[in-house]
Amino acid sequence: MALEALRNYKSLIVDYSIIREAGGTALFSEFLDIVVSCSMDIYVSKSFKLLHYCVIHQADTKNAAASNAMKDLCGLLLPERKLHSVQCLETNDFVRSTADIPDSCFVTTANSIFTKRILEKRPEFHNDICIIGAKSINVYHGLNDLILNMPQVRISPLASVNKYLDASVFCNVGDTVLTGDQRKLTLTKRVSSGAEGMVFTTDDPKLVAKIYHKGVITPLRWSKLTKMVSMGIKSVGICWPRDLIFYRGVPVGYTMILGKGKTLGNVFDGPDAMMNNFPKWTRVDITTTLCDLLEKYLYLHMHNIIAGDIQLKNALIFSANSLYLIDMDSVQVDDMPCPVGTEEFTDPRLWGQNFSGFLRKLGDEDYSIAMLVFSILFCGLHPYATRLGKETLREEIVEKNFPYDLQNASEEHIPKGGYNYIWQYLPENIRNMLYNVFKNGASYEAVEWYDAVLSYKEALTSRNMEDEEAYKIFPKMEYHQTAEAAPAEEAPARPMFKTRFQGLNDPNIYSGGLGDQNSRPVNPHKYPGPFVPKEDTGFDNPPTSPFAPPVSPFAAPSERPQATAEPEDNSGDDSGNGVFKKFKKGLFG
Amino acid sequence: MADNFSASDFGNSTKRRLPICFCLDTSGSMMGDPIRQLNMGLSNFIASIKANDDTRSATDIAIITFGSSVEIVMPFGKIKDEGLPEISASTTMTPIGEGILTALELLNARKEGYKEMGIKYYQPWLVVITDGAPQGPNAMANMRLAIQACNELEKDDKLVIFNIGVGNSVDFDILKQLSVKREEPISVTSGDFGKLFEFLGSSSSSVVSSGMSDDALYNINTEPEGESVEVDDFFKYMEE
Repeated sequence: MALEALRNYKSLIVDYSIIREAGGTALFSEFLDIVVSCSMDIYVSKSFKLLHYCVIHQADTKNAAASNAMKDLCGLLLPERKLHSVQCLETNDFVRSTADIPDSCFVTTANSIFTKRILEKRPEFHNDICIIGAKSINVYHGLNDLILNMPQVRISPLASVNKYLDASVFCNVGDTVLTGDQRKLTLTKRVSSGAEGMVFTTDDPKLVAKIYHKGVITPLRWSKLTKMVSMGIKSVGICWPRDLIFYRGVPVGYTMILGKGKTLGNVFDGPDAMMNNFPKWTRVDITTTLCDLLEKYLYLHMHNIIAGDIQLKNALIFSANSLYLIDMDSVQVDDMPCPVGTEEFTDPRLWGQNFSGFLRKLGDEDYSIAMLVFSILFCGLHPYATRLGKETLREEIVEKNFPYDLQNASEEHIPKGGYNYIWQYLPENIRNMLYNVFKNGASYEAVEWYDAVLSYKEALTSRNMEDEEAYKIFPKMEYHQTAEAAPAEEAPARPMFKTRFQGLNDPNIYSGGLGDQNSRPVNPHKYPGPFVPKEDTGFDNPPTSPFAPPVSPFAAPSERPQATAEPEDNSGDDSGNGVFKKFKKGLFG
Repeated sequence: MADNFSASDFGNSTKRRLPICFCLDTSGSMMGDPIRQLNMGLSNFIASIKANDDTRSATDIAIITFGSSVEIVMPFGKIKDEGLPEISASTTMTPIGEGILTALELLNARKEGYKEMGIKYYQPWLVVITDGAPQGPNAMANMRLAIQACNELEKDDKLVIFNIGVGNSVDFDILKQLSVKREEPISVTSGDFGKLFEFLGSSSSSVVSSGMSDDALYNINTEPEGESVEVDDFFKYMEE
């Protein structure tokens, strides 16, 4: 009875990590028993629901237990009115709002977003906090106790091992390699080649193989890949390493699912690229894409991962509903750092540091997430792209020369092409957030961006915007297609079940099927509530997608409609560096 | 040059631009095979830039030749689908300095254009390819001016210089002075043009798609960092 200590409290403030990490375990059953038998009140933050959205939208088979745990918790507590949602999102806000709940204890896990945030932000925090781990359960009394006595994560010593694997083993099309679980795979066709390696299709239609060039596999990289594979992330839109690959006993690469489409950077690249790739898009599609991206990054954050190198070329887009994060082997996992980053997307406070030499914090990623939000909303534009500005982008970033203002007083420095209208037509809260970040150096947690963009999307999908211009990718501009549409647009759209999660503003969001009584759903389907079991969802094929099977949040990945276009690129670094390296040797070596 | 400013020459891509100005020797000694190789190398270079989604709208190219006179063969923003104008060699003059000064003017005007439009850019590249030494009226004086201008810009990280000598008749002492960062000019034979342009193409692509730093362009080192280890030793690190 490991959780007995919790019986001492009248109320528990429960973090979502308990649902995702402990759901399905005996520990979670015990937790529910205690909560019910002691008739405890449970408090959760607004992120509890938002993070659950992120999890179910990943359609990752390993989250079935989390879905059930959420259903069990809601099923037991809602009828008794024992589950209370505190309408706060930001960590310090939430901590402040719950500080006065008597006889209460926070319940979370060691690497949860919440735990990391309070350790980073160091708010005034005197409550008890129970950290549930696989091996031990500890109660700490306030933040100081937590800082002093919880084991600290230090950077892996492998990060500073300056060695690389050198074996005269090369594999290519036709070769049969062995996976970590001893399965044979044959490389069938080379899909792309980049700075670090090549991607091949294999005789397993679901998997491609990334094979590294010589000199790329370091102890840090291999140990990170080993850890990543063991985590078993199987989101449909995250090209996560599935298994290691060996050739003649030597580590050579890993398998993953194949991403489809073009990099975000080549679609979100100004009006011509937008119109030519997705001529029928509206702002709904922009916000759908952005929500999808934010959900994926939040999902990674929940796994103690910092993406590190967020930028528009590290995701592929096939359609508004089909997005893939790629180049995942660089992310920071646990104590193993992300060695790369760009000046354009990395928080300037980190510039000049050796990225391999320290562990990034969640707070470090906030800036990159804000950059992502701006870039997507502005169709690829950089927030510091400025007319009549400084000599270098670097100076603009350092001096925070954000050319937009809240009164729309001056548009002199906004790049030409209609970006001033994009700004004007954004919801006020998003404009404020962007202004605070890029002008005043403020930061927002990823989940706050998710909340804001989700609300924007819902305002659009529920046709709340009065001015039709607000739906246009470039409001008040007349841009038209200049080339033939990309095939991506013709693909059957995945049913947009995500838009059915209405009722975000409904205070009684945990009431199962009654969630949207007061808000009109965007489609005639009965609103099922986010937490109802699969068999009760009653999702039919929407008329817009004759080929797509029903997709519920609980559907297995294989139920997703498969797009059929030729894969374009999965390595995302198709810069020809392989040739470059070889050539440089020949000429100058 | 600013009077020729036209917004349509800049496209509406949001990508950060890399302006590259080629400054090419078309003096008499380049006649025949060298100029053929040069044309082929250039058009392959442009083709590979256009074939790659990452570089197509990010790389911005102008071409200047210096032979009997300095000519702007292709200004920025004017790459045509039908390909490049053919470059031919003719006389015995080699006004390198004048060519470089014109190139710097073009690059500067282009940067002003970016600023006017609100387009982000990388610091420009100047690619000088010559097979000889400055020749003609005021050639040395102009070359000295060009060297001084290049050195100042390069020191302030406002220009990346590729000073490339072809064959054995190059005045490497003068060519070397063009760059304060590159230890020695890049030396090739005209038979190497294919590889040379391949190198320039992949370097530019590394800058625009992988954010490679300008310093790396001066330090051509292909060996992986760190020390190589065999498989057995490799796994020992993981166990520790």
